[in-house]
Amino acid sequence: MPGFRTVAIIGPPNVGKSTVFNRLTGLRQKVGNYSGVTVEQHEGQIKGTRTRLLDLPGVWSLEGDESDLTSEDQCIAVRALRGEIEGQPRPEAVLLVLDATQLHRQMTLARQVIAHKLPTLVVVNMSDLLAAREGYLDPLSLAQTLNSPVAMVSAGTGGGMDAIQRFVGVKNSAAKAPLLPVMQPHVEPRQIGCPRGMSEIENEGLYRRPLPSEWSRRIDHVALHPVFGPALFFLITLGVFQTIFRAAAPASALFQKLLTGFGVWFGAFLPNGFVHSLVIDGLWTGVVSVLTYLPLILLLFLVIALLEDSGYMARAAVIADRMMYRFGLSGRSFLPLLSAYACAVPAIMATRTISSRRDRLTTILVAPFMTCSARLPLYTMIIAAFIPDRPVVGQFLGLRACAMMGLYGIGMAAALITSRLLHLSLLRKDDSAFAIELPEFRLPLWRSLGINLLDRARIFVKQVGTIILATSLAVWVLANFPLHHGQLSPIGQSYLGSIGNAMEPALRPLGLDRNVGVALLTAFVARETVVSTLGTLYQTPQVGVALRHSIGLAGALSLLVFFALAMQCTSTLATVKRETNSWRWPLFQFAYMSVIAYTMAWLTFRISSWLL
Amino acid sequence: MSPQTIPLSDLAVGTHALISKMGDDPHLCYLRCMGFCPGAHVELIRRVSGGALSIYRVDDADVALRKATAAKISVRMEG
Repeated sequence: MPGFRTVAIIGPPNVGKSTVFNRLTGLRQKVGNYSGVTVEQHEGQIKGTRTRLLDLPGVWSLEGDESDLTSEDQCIAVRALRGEIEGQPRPEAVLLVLDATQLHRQMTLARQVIAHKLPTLVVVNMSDLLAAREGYLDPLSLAQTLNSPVAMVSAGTGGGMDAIQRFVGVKNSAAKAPLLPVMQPHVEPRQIGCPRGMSEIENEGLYRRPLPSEWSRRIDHVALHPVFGPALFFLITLGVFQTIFRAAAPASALFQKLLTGFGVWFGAFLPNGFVHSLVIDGLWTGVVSVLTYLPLILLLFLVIALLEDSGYMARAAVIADRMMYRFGLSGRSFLPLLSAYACAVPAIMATRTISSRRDRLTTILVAPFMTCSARLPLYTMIIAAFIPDRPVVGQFLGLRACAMMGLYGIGMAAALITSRLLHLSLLRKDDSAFAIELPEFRLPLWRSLGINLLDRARIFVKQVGTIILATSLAVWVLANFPLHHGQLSPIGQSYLGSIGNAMEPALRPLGLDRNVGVALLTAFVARETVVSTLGTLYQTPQVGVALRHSIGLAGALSLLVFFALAMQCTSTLATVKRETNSWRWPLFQFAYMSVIAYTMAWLTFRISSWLL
Repeated sequence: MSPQTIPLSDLAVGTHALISKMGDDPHLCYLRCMGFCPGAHVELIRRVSGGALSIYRVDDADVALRKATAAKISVRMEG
């Protein structure tokens, strides 16, 4: 059987489309137990074929007026299916992924997809869960009802995937059993209005809904309890931060020791002078200072992925909705804003799942205030250098953890106040419908978690190897050139020194010196380079000690506040431009955040100088 | 005696009802796909955040709705 050139995966949100995609392509794709994780269309190549596989965002329906389409995800899915996306061929076949435990609610979409008249395989995923919860489906009846072949699959464990491989034309597929046949191709699928399409085969006993997951409902008694719910929410958020800093700090320290040791060992082989300075002081110091934070960033992503995969994230959105609503947002903004703790770029992309345009724009505009992981190197370094490691609440909460939470708090407060202001001014809000489905709790798939983390590590290391390496090189060149009598120039007489001197009048009111100013400039390329740039400029890996001598505590606090609030990320600005389709919003955002950051840093410096 | 029709938001916790009418708001389209259709059975499971949100069970799935959203859906009491 010749393979298709392009196959699209479509289905409702949270049915395991991305898991199917990962299984078929071996490509890494983020998988979560929360509606709307696939925020844009991904593609890969099916292993053993030349077939392109498109992973479309989850949709409940293909119908609707574009002006009120529930979200842009739906637009993307529909346009991709119709072949209306530029530079992309129309899919030749469709894998319609449905959730075996929710089939009765997914028939409307199934019929709409099948009505596109493309060869369609109905992939009934999580069929192991259906059986485990005493449900039953006669696949032949479903095939007859939908007029399409059906494959029963458990993508999480890989069961039944060979049927899909056979459909898309993988050679040497292990599948022996034929697919359930396509019935009477001339018969149109029976049309229905509301999603009651399973009732007929349900009545005939050919589909039995699974028993509700009792323990899932029991967990909800606590997770959504008026008192215990918010308490649990707060504990989990607090636990996330404590875990990250308790577990990641020693790992990072060890990692740094190893990497620095390697630099010393390697440096011994290099000739002294120019080459040694470039490779060790310029490049390696820069790379190490950032790479050190890999364990911390991975841990943060692990925790977010665990919350997503288990299903708790949807409950958190419900708990958070009331507070978010007060500030002009919805609970749906919670996941994007929470993932902004890792990085604002995927967070801004994740806002595509927010149905209301105003909510979405507001979320995009405030997301960069959230403390992204690229800010952590500077935060951690300054806290370690300036804040004593004193217990606050017994052994559970230390002063340093409090300081870190304070910084997260500043970012969040700025985000919430800004969204409130936007809600009252530029983006007056319509009272859009808010609905969030609570998926059943389930154990995370360790394979998906592993893939997710590997992916993050790869992206991070790639960034270190490209942008950060290049920034380190550029900073080193600017900090050591022009040459004086064939010798590298001291920092004061270098290009960077001149830029720093020019910036000094603006920095003085904030209690910052020109080295910090230069480092802040390089942060525009990548925020995490600030520590490495400071290391290069102060010519020491002990940046904290250097800062204690140069700017003192008041200056350090002002630097933290500036860094927490300023819009210093070109990739975020570029993403906002792409997602809002205009330069207006990113420029507005940049100006607004810069003014706020400068003003607040100035206030912090004045107040702390006065107090200390 | 004709069965009483009330907004979904007025349902008491633990009671069942039949959806009789959906409002005209285009955003409700999304809810229709989630199973909120005329004729569907709906049960109020619990209120969250001091009643600002409620969890409804429709078609065996739990969905959280804001009070204002639920007010746009009319239900007929069962039994």
